[in-house]
Amino acid sequence: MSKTITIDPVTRIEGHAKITIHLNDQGIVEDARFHVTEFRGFEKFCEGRSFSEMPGITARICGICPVSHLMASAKAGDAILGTRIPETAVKLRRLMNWGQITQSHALSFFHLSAPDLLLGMESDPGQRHVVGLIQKYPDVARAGIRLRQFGQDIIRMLGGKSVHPAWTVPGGVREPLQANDRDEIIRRLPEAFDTTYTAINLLQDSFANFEQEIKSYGNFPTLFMGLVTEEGGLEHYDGFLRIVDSNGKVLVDKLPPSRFREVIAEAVEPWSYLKFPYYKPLGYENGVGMYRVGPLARLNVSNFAGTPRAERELRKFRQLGDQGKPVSSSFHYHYARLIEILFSLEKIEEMVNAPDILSTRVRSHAGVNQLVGIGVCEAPRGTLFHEYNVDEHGILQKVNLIIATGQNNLAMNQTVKQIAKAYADGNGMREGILNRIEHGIRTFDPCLSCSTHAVGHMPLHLQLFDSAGQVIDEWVRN
Amino acid sequence: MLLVIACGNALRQDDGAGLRLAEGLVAAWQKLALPVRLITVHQLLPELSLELVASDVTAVLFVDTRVARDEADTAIEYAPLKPTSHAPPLGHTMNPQLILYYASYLFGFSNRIPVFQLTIPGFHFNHDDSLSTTCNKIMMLCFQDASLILNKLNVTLSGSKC
Repeated sequence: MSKTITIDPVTRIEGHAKITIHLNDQGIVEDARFHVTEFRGFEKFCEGRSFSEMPGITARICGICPVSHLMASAKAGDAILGTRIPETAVKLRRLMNWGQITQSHALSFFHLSAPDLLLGMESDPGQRHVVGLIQKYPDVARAGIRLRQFGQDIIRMLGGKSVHPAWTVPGGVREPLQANDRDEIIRRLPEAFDTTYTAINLLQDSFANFEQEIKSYGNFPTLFMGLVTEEGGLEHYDGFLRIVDSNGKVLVDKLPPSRFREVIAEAVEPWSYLKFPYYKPLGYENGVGMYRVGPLARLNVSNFAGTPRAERELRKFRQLGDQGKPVSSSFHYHYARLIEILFSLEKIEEMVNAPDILSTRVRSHAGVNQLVGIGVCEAPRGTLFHEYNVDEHGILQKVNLIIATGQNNLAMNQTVKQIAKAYADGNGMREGILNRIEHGIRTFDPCLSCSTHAVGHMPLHLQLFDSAGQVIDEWVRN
Repeated sequence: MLLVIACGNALRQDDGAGLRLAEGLVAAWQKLALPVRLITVHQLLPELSLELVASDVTAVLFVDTRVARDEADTAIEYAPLKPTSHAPPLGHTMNPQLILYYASYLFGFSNRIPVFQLTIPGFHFNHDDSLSTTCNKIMMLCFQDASLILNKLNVTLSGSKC
């Protein structure tokens, strides 16, 4: 009799989901699914609103990456206005975006993934969480909090508050940067760099302990997608869409992001509220159109970083790929995230020293000139698309959001299956195996709040089902 | 200074009640010239621990919405908090006790500083920026009791050595 094993919810990621693992009669993993069980209603909720409200509304999809929604939404609004925003406004938006990447990636590494990486995948579950990390590595925990605070403070200095700042608007931004805030950012950068290198060294020292995990955590061929600069460099705010395959062959290049529908389509499955974006020319069947986004993908699609410290780490990163191919193991999302923190800090340093960074010319004004606006940027977790259809008064008729986490949905499902196949057998599910599956999901740093939305929270509940849907075993983790 | 930390999403109906409640209470207390600072967040996150250890903080109040157990669950609940080393699955959010643990273990937050949590029951959590009728009524009653809540804190504030 085949069995179904459920992990519900997945701990230490934003939002809620459950994992179902299906064993056949021999106790071999046959299939595994990553279920997202929450309903996403923001798109319908926004219809009838003015497009100018959308930055503030969509930012409230998430408390971890609201800035990403602010950026994409404001850019969609820029397109509806048909306006080119002042150059200083571009710089300031980029500055906030890099502040967000810093804080979000710091949260992912230090608080969500570090317990497994530094304490071990099969260490005592009573300790393998953030408190265990705090007790064993208090200096690392302190430094991680302060790094995250630095990113949050950049957002606060620009937007007035660190969560849901009402600062990025269609046409530009509301307020310029103040000189004393610029000086404080400069003053705090050295500590931020030091903390990032501490994290990189800890991670690199841990690679030897995770050889099997590197092979089995989401390590399979996929496409990769991300924004790049005109020259093919690492990009988070603007640029062009690029898609490469698992051999590094460029399939799509220099595509204006507003034309994303030429290459991206979305499928739905009855067992998940997340949609399943895929690369249209290759289709959805059998997962051939599967692609990954986010830090790993961005480094894979870029020709270079363009900043010295990140460039050095990127060269080391590339050596993790098989014979010069893109790095395929999702385990290396962790390293990619830390490289992106380095890059962001270097770009922040460059940007706050730009001669026009304190200019007060930060907003352009216009009316509705286009009835469709598409805004695209790189959120910490991957490429984010906001697509708005408005009437001549700017009232939203239709809203479509393609969220970064959703684009990794196919790959996350495949990752769960791969890990389950590598570590589960008919003898049951050991605690360490369960945590490996969860960690496989966490390498993607999914934000299910963005992909759907979460209210409240619940304890971890594992259920083992037989093929008739009967619970034959249960495991509650609190 | 009383540090008030309110958590919630203003676009998910009663999930935003904690935010509104905190804003109303703080406004009432500021009229009484009480030194009070309000931080509103979508969810509790680790760096809030640094706010707790600011030198002028003499008491901390967390304000949030809880999911009502049933329709009869209409009480404002108010309870002291202690740090916990037990970390629940973090999931979408941390809890105040864990924030306290971070502040205590990592940054030396004094256990002499009183910390409380105030929760208002929430009944509807759909996409909307209005509160449910029941939740709104409870909140209005709480505003009328702002001084009573302050009295509880006043005893602690005046007795605090920090």
